[in-house]
Amino acid sequence: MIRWNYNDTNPSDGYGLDPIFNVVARNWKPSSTATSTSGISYYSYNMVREVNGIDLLAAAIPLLKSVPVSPYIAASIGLSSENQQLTITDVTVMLKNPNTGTIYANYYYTPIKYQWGSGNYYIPATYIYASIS
Amino acid sequence: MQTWPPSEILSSCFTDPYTGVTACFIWELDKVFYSATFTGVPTAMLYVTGNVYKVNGLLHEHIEAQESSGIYVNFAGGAEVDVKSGSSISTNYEADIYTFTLRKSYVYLDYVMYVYPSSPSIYAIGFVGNYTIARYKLYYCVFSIIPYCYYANENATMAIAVPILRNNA
Repeated sequence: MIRWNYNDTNPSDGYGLDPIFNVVARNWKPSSTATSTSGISYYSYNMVREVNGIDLLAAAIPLLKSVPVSPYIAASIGLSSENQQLTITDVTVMLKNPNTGTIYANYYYTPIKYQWGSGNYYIPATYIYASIS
Repeated sequence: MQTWPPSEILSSCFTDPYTGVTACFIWELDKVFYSATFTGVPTAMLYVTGNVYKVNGLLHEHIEAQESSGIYVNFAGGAEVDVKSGSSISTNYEADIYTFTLRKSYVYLDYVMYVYPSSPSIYAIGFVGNYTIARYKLYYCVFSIIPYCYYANENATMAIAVPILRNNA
């Protein structure tokens, strides 16, 4: 597989990554907000467990293009079984100097359950919103 | 690699034990809303805002199949499925209509991006892949001497993301 990355330093201009992130932020369910004065980490392994999902559907990929379809539609990636070492994605935000500010963060998950076989599951996205005060 | 987006997705087949005739449910490509090849597919994002100069961060992806321990990587399409029954339509969401599975141990991607934001930003990591948003219609096809298909009153609007494999890995 071939890795890919992108930085969008103008996240409110409607170009780059904000149209994709906003699909999730505006239409999906946010997790409860985590608060820390040191750092916060999110692991797909843990998020799947929090939403009672399954490892095969561990990391949602929301709509990458604005087209007239349901914003709940998401591709996803997962492992047949995740563990702490074999987790698909994780994101960490840390204060450079602890106790000099506060991080408020959350992830998002699909507002509807996806059917897989005979079960129905929410799919979390490792799409993290972090506000720093 | 097959054509992109996939022109048809086989759902399930049955063979009549008396006549030997096979019949299958097949999703046929109906409308492409968007399609791209060799495009960035974000598996993780971080949106930082506020006093971002106080923090740094990292985004990490680890995609690995382990043949020996039977751990495989699954890429699932996600679909809104509309089932027509008379004049009513019921909707549900399904993640197992289209799946792409990598089982071999040489499938490996491990990537960390460290970030040091100086202004509100969004960071993304992921993989290079083929991506599409398309609508499929379900047909029931009977492969008798003269094969025939008829529309099975289901549509699936689906997003599919699969990786480009380089050197088969």
